[in-house]
Amino acid sequence: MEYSETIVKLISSLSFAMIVTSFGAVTTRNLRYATYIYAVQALLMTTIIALYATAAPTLFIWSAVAFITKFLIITWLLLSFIKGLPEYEIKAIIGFAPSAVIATVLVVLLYELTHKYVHFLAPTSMATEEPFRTNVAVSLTIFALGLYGILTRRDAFKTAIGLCLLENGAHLSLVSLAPGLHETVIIGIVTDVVLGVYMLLYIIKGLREVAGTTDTYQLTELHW
Amino acid sequence: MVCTNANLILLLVLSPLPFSLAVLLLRRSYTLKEPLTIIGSFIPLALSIPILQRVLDEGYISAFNEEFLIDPLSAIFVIGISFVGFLASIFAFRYMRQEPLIRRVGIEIFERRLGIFYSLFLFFLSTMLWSVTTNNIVILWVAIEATTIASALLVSFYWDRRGLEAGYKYILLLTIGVTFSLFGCVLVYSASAPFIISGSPLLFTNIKGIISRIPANVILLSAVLFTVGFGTKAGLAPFHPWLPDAYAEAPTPISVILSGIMTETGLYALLRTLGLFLPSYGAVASSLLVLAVFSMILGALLAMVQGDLKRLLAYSSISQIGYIAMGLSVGTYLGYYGAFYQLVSHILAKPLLFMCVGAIIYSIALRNIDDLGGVGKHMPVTMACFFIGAFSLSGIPPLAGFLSKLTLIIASADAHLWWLLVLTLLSSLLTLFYAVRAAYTAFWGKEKNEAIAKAKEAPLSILFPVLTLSILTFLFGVYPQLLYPLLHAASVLAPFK
Repeated sequence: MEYSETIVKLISSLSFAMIVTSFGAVTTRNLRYATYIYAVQALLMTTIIALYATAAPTLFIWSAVAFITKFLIITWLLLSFIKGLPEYEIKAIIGFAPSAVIATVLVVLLYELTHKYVHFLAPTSMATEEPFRTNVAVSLTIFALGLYGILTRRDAFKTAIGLCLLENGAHLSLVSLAPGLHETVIIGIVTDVVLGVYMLLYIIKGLREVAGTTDTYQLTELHW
Repeated sequence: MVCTNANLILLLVLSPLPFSLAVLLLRRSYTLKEPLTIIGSFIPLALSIPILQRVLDEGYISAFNEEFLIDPLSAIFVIGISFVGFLASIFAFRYMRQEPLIRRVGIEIFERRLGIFYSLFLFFLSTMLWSVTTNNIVILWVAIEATTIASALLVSFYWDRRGLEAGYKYILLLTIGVTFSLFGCVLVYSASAPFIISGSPLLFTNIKGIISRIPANVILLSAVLFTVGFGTKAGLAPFHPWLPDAYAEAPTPISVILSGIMTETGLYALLRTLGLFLPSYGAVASSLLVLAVFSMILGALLAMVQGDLKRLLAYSSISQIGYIAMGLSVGTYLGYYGAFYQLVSHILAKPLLFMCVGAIIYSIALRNIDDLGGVGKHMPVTMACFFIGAFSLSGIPPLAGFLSKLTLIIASADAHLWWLLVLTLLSSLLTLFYAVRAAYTAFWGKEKNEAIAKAKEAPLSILFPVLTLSILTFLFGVYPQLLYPLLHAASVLAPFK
């Protein structure tokens, strides 16, 4: 697949914007803003996949699927859920400043490592070339930031956002790692993702009603 | 309708779904939910018999350009899932209608929730059958993730704080874990695609033929991702933290399914995916062996300190899954045979034990070992069956668990893995200790609670599955040759070192 220099540059810029939005969604304490930032990331991902589709038209369907599921449905689910929640998340285990330092180190290290040693990760030679190389590195970085969010946030709602980021990272990587995947398989994967997020939010809602909190530190009835 | 392989497989996977929908639509009905669920779970069991026959005759059956494939290994799981699913649906018939629960939420809400429960129960069954019949590596991931989604609300069914906490951990940890394996599936598919000229590069049967052409780094990375992802689903230590809470807080029929077949489905996915590499990559088998032994010992040690019978059985599952993984990673014919035997004995013994605990809960609403004692006087059948399960788990003759563990021990000796033999024996001793201690404390000795005096045997619909599992546990210990054709066929096909 051949891309013009402009498309490659555009993909790279949008990919970096995705990393920034991941960081924003994890660290922003205002829940509504965090959801909006997630929505922006989903739109960025949709646009990136559409740009890849300029050389592989079947990816337009992927882009449409990502738009419907990741942007429309999941954003709607998240926004519906935060109705009635406090404006701000329960204070995280790690505050904004140390979080910024840790996330920056994580991003730089992971991005550099995956970008430099992409041949170790990439199953095909195509995935080692630009713009796929950057895509693999960005995907894994977003995946790691999602995991970081899940591990360091006390608010169950923010862990759900972390899970969405993690899934976005996995989804984005498919463009480079498996561009030949049939659309029905992609639809199967994203259906699982949407239903998984819905179930998680539904159970968190139940927890909020029954336990009166979304603070995972207070989920002490059972030991981790 | 002609009974082609395609029809059989399609019916097997899809037959619970119309019943699931019907139960959902008729959720306000007081009388139809249970019969529909029992019929919906009986059909896959009825279909699994001709399927088994064809698999034994033809070696394997497939459908839709091999998108679905049932070989002897899948057949073990198909039978296990449909059999335990059917028994669990009978067990649930009376168990789920316990008065304390109805009193807590009110009859109308309870009926509606029960409808959703049975609907998800059947959907869950269908997703598990889909997982073990698909031959497509990415669809395997989709189906495995679908089992988690289908069962999350079942784990949280009681909708109290403990159930919701368990459900939260269950869906969060399993989704994170299983996402790792998506990367693995995609890497293997992508690396195989250039070498597969005809046919789909998503099919296991096609990938297997060209596996030696995939770069070693991709294989090793995928193996790690599969181990983390499907290992989490299988409940292997250290990826197990979701398991004890889910098993303990779910309604007992769901604990039966989770312990008897769902974690095994995760193990199936692990075996299918890692099985692609095992013949040429000893490091993959060695890593799995380390996790297996860790699970065996850690699960047994943690089971020893549990006061709650359901949590004890949950930790015991981690240990028993470790035995199966141990046999698989030894990688010889005997290792595989022992692993599959252990799989069958665990599919029988663990649901049996959970059902016995369920019978106690049904009778006196107690499940802590410290609150029990002397229950056996009032519930002798349940006590006898619990001992059969506990002894089978511990590897006491003449029960199925004895022969499976003996085969695993012989496999270790045969492979000159003496340290493994010692650790397997040690783990069996720990199992004997915690299982017999729990059985003794609960059923014998002084009655520690007033409620125990009022204990009586559970109704026949609860005892029937308990007795069936007990009889089979005994039968497969006395007549191991009954299982030989299937286990042998699965072991011969399994990848060797």
